[in-house]
Amino acid sequence: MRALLFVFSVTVAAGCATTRPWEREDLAQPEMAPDGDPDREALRDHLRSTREGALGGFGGGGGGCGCN
Amino acid sequence: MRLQLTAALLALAASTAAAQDGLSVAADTLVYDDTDNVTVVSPQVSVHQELDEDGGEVSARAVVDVISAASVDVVSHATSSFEEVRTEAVLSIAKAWDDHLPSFSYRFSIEPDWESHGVTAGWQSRLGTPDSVLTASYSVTSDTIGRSETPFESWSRSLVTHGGSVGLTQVISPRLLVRGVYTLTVQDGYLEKPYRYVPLFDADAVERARASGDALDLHTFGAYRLSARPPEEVPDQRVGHALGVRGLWSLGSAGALKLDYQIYADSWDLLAHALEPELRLRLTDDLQLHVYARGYLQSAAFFWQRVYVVSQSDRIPRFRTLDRELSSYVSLTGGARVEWRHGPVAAYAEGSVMATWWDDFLLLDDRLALVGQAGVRWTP
Repeated sequence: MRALLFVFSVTVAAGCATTRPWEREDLAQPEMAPDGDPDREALRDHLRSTREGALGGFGGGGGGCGCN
Repeated sequence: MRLQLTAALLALAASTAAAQDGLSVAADTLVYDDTDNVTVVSPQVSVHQELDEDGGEVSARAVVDVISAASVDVVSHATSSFEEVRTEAVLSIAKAWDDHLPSFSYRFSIEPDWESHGVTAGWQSRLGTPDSVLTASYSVTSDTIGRSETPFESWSRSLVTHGGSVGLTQVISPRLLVRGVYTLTVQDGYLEKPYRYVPLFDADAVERARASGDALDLHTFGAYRLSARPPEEVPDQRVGHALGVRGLWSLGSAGALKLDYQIYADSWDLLAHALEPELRLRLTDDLQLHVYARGYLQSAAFFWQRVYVVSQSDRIPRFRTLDRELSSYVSLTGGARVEWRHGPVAAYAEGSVMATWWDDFLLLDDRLALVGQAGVRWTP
């Protein structure tokens, strides 16, 4: 948990730095998109939410039971 | 009939898209099949209309889950199998306003024994620079749980779920991007499954099984359990905290490396870790290959027991469950996805294998699942 808080703190602190427009070539590539296609991930997230006990976090699950 | 309706919706959306800028249509299908005799087929269609160039859009999505199951959860209750259809529709809107992107969505889901309504309000803001993006959301879901072939008016229970999340996406360097997300989930109401009944044993029966050399499992538990088999009972409230960290590291023209880690803890003493590395390879300007793995590990809820043993004088345990997702288990997934884009058309195909091992579940020790997913997008 402390390691996670450390990473989060470093991330926030790094917010003071600004990337110049000409430095953003790599960041602008489609592979660097932090979110995947929302429609594709909605299907996968619902399946995952019915197979894992954890709630929330990345993704989310849609509604209903999905019981088996 | 539903598939025909889906095809008609897709054709209508496609014809509309041809006539309007900023409109795109998509169709996806997920197929799941496992060694526990569960098969799920989920076709989905969606339509997006762009409202601005900063993420604003209005969208609609519809998905149908066709579930066929003869899993141990089903056959252990002397039922051979069941088939069920779940239908879900989601309407969303987001509109950019300076550096902010407020959003709202409504979701409706229905199946023969479950009805769900949910709304989510979200907010995304750039903190003075595109390098720092703050997100926050609140959602509330109201579920009505019933029994198959029983009208909701005759028997139903309610479940309300509140969810709040806050996240920060931060560019650390021209090649490194990090996101942190915290999610709070509060569930209040009926958290059981109405078809789940928990077998009970007395100490004599457990000893008889041991003396006979029988391990208590799916095939033997019926011979040793007590006649009473009470319904599942779990606490009416569950509060969960999830903290996720995502890192994306650019490999230049080769692609990128993504790493997700998530920790989850809740008021039922369930603790879970998930780790998901993904290598995103750019094969050509139009073609990407994503290779990923996922490891998931969780501990059991505080009231979980593989075998609930009571003595004649004991009362039935207050909390009791047969929900394997509340036991301790490990799951490993490996998969790959190919993404292709050419002009207005984009498509993908994905396949993965998921193996799960339960070390403390009465009815099942392991399961192997195959998951396939494919989709196409058209943005004229």
